[in-house]
Amino acid sequence: MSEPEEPQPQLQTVLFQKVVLALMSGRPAHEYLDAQREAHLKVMRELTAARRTASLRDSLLIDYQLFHIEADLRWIDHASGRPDNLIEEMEIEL
Amino acid sequence: MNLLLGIRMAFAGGREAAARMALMAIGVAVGVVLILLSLTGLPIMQTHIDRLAWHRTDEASPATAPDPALWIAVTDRYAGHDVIRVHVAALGPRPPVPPGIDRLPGPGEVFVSPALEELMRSVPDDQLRNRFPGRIAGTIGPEGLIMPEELVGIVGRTPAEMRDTHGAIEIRGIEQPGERLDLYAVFGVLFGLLAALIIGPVAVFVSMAARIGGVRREQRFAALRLAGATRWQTAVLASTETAGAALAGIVVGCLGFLAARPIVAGQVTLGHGMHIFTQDVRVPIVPAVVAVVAVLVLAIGTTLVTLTAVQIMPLGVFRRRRRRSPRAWRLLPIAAGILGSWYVAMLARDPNYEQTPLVALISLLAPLSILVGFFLSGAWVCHWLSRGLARLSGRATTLMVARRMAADPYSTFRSVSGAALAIYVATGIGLLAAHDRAGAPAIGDVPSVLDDGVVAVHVRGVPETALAPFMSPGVIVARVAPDRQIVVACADLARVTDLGCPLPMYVEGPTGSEDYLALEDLFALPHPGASSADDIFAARGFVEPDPDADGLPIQTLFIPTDGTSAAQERVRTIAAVTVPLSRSKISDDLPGRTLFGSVTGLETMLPYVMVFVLLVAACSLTVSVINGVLERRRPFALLRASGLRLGELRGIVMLEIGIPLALSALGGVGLAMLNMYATVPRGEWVLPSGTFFAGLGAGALAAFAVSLIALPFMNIATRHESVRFE
Amino acid sequence: MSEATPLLAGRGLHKNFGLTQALRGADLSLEAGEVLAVMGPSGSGKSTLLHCLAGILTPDSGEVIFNGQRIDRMLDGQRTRLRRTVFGFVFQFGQLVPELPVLENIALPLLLAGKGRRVAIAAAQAWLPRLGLEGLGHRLPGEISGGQGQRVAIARALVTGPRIVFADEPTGSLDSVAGDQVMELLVSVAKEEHASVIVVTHEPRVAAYADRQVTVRDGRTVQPAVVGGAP
Repeated sequence: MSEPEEPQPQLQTVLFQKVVLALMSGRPAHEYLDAQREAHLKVMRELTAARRTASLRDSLLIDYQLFHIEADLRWIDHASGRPDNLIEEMEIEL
Repeated sequence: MNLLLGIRMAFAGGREAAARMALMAIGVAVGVVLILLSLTGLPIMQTHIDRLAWHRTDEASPATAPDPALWIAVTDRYAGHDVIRVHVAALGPRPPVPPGIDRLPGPGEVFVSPALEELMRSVPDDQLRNRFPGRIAGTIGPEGLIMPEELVGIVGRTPAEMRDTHGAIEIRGIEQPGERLDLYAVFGVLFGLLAALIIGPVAVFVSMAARIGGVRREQRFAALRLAGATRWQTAVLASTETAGAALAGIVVGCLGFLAARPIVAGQVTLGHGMHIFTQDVRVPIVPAVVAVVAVLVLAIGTTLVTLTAVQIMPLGVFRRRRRRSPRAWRLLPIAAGILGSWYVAMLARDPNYEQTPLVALISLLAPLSILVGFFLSGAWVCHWLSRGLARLSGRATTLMVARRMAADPYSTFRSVSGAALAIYVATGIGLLAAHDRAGAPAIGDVPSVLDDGVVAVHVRGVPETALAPFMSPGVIVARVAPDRQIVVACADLARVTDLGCPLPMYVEGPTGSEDYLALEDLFALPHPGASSADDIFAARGFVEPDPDADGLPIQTLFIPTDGTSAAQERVRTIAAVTVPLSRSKISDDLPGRTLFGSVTGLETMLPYVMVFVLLVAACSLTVSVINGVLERRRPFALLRASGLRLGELRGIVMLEIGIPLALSALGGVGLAMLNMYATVPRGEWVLPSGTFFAGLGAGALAAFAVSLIALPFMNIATRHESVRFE
Repeated sequence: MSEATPLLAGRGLHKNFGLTQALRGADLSLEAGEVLAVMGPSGSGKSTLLHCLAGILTPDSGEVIFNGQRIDRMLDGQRTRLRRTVFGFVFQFGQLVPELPVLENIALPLLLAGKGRRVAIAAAQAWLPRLGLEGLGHRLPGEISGGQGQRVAIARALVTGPRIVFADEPTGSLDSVAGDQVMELLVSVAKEEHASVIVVTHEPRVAAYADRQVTVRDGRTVQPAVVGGAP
């Protein structure tokens, strides 16, 4: 219990690839990204509502999930906000 | 390096900081103008007295030139105005020359003041012009006049003519200014006190101006301190900004003072409607420099004082804690002062009491203690009044005002301390004036006893042969005995005056001597210039003529006329030509004496002082309003977004000014009354006239109205756009 | 989509500030009783949209309809009255009057509406326990924490019984725990009072408290697509 855990950035592989593809496709990716955001938010809304009636342990778990989903969202916003030439760089690497 | 950084920082703040500095500069400019104006009071008075000097020239005047001259100087009258008439004859190539002209007029020449020249052109010669025989050969310059519109004429004569004229004296010099009259001491103290009391509110105002935008500036300097600036560096940076604004304000203030001089000269009159010359409105160099430096030091000092809190605890700026509320000990100095004044006054009423050094000390310290206590206790009064107001107020606006006052009674009182002090001083002077007026016999209120149309020509001992043109039936002669008693038959006197038989006598006590005083006033011949207390001639009593009376010299002729001013002036002109030494009076010229140094002098100054100081107070209030709005800009803007009407917001702000102002005014008046009750015996309690209080009220309202200037500012400052991107 | 007329609707809203185009044709509608989140990056114009909907700003073009009335056509005085009586406001910070204690800050709208002091304070007193502010009634805003301050702001916003509460980044100055508390209370108490809420925020976890969300980007509103459609 006294040893800290190694942080594991869990990669949501499918999500990651979909977003990268959308950004690199050359076509405006707004439609897809907005739909993806809405999907995330829908889940977050449901979790928030569930947390109201949850026990302490469950609400801590829900908080954990909420923060992680929010992290995905923030990454999506961040990635779609980057200038285009960096995305082209990624294209070369991949 | 620090200085340059400070300058850069000062200018880097953008539009808001520029507005802040501009406001500070304006505040300092106004303060400088007001202080400089207040310092002109004494020079104006002193110059006025100096200008009168040459009128007093007589044989004993110290020599100012190698050769003598023959001289008669008389204060004549024309249609209610004084006309100074001088006859001169030089007895050598370099005679003494009065100021305003560069040589004496030769025989047949006349030098006149511009006002007299114009007057002479507009009236018939036999009423005025003929009194100055000769052709007009020059104009008397401003140095020789006591006011721009003075009527002065200098007639040139031959020495032979002058020697034939009764009353001509030989002078070796023109009386020079520089002799400090007794009145100077009184006025010196008074003006010193006034200046100090005026500078007080001005100092408050300047320090308030230096605090503008205080919270934000403090936050900036706290940030500097946290970033690692030393105390010295922060002090330099803070002072640079203030010093820059203060210097700009000083320059503008000096220019403003120069521009204000002609306006002040045009507005101010020294009693009797005497105007002053623009060049007399000046400030001696040393006091001016001292005042300007004091303003600069004050502005910078205020910044540094407010900075010390930041220096010591930079983080405290961001989370303001409540200051301790004012404690009751603050009332002690005022109580002690009033007690001291009462004690001294009680002692003074006992005629046998000798003043010990202790008592002298108390009488000096007591008013000082009251003054200091005034400033200390103001916050306490504000605090308790705000608590009462909070308990009583049912409306949102008054509740907010009460809480605001309670949150910081110190700054609330600070912003109105100028006004309160002004009102305290003004009420005190008003009470003093009313008390003096009630107590002293009214010298200036002696009624005229001379019948209308009668011209009393005081010939002062001229040989009877010279008086031939006047001797016609109906002319009454009054002679003078060697002991200065006037010898005249009461029946004769009754024909030309209101008095009857027997001749009046002087009676001890407050009443019974009105007739005597009136008659004495009729015969009194004051020195030229209303400020002099000496008389050339004063009667010592009135007696009936005895059989030898015809041998006595004639003092006065009473010449009846048909009552028209033309006829009266003609008689006067004849008198002036026949007996240059003579002075004549008609009914309208009496009462002849109003001592300049009396209470009326105080009372004439009172309106100017009150307006002046209340104007300063108005500036303080306006600064306070602006500051208050800037500090609460965001809450007010968000309240407006939430549906607070602009009118309600303005109402809150105006009440925040108005309520403390009204309470301080009442406090100032109350304190002055308390002072009076403590020091003046009950029988002598006098209230100032209704006009005094009306003036006070009008002044306070005017001060309030000036602060309304800040209202349009409020709309802009709390509009939603201005707080959008915070 | 509900067939009923929305409580508040904005159509084709444009607003410029000098050279900056803040809104370029934004649309939004709010149903009665719902909690709506308006999301978007900073500079997107979401706050401006909120201010136009609330009648704080007048749009350059477009319409804002509340309860069948055109707000954007109203005179300033009418809009002010609307904001005072029917709308409630919670801002990110700085809305509490620093010299008034908490109770009087909450009671302020009632006092301004002319209610007697005793009545207003009593009404404010009733709100303290609902927002977890017991015992803080006589503290000054400078003496309470940020989260407590925002709860006071919520109480003030709700004390007049408004139909709509406009919240502009209400948790922006708060940490996540305090932010959660504030949002939970805002939404639950508003629902108890049958008031609708529009929350402007850039944080997804805050938006998750709402029933629905609208995104603003570059001055335009982006309606969310139906979930499940293929890219």
